[in-house]
Amino acid sequence: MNLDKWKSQLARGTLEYCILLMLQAKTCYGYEILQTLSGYPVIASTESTVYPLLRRLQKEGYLQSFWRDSAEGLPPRKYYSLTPEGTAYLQALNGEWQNLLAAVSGLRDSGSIAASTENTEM
Amino acid sequence: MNAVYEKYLNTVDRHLRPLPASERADIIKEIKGSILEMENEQLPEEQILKRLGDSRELAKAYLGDFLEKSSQEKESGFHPVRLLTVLAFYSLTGVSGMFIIPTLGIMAPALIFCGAVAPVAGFLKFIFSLFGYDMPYVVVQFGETTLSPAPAFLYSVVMGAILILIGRGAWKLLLRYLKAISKAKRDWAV
Repeated sequence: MNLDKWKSQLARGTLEYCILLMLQAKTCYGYEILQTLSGYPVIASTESTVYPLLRRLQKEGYLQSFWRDSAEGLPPRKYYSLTPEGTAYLQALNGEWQNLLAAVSGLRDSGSIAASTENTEM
Repeated sequence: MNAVYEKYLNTVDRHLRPLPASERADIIKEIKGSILEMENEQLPEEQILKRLGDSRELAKAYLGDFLEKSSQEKESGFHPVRLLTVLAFYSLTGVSGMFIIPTLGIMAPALIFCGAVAPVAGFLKFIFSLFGYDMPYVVVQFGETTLSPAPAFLYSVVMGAILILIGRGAWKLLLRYLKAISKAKRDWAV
């Protein structure tokens, strides 16, 4: 079915934005990001997408990271946080996201008006 | 951590070979962390492995980005113009280097050595002549005329200085040539 393909494209296209939003709220370690994402089935992802993405964002200067030892019985964790460049980038993404929402809601409204006028004519 | 995970991480590490060792270690450490967190949550082994997916695919997810980036930066992909640039560069430096590097490389030390030895020899001949001894083999001769020890010493000092200057010039020229080549190599990205 086409819906699955569309959903995976949607997740891939928005994952970066979602992770940046998460890191804006607080500094997170990689596994924590995965856990939070798994709370939202639409963007749930695995190590193989999230970890390379974090690495790329760091290379591009949007994130910084550091290792920290955890409580006993738990592995050391790599924490990520936004750099000033990352914050600026996120603000730009916020703007684009608003544009997208406005476009979609505009199209939905005109679509529903057309649908309702069609209904009254019948 | 059991042997299954060790093996899994080793496979990932092996497929990350194009990356620098420090980066590889960091990647493996992070994935290992994920496995340990999941183990700690009592997730069964097969579920953990299923979530991580194929080890080669996981490594590829890191490499995909890296390969794409390095090919953009270095433009190491095949391109007709690039091929011509590479050919032109190596033909030019190959042919010129075949003559220039050995010529200057031999001239520089040889001239400097001669320039240093000549005044010493002239000086010794002059000193020896003061004691009435004519030093053999050290002679300044123009055609038929032979200079006497005092002007011969003077002459050897002047000539020695000139030889050393030329030798140093050759050495500097060689360095400049080599620098120019490495700069061209960088600029042309060959």
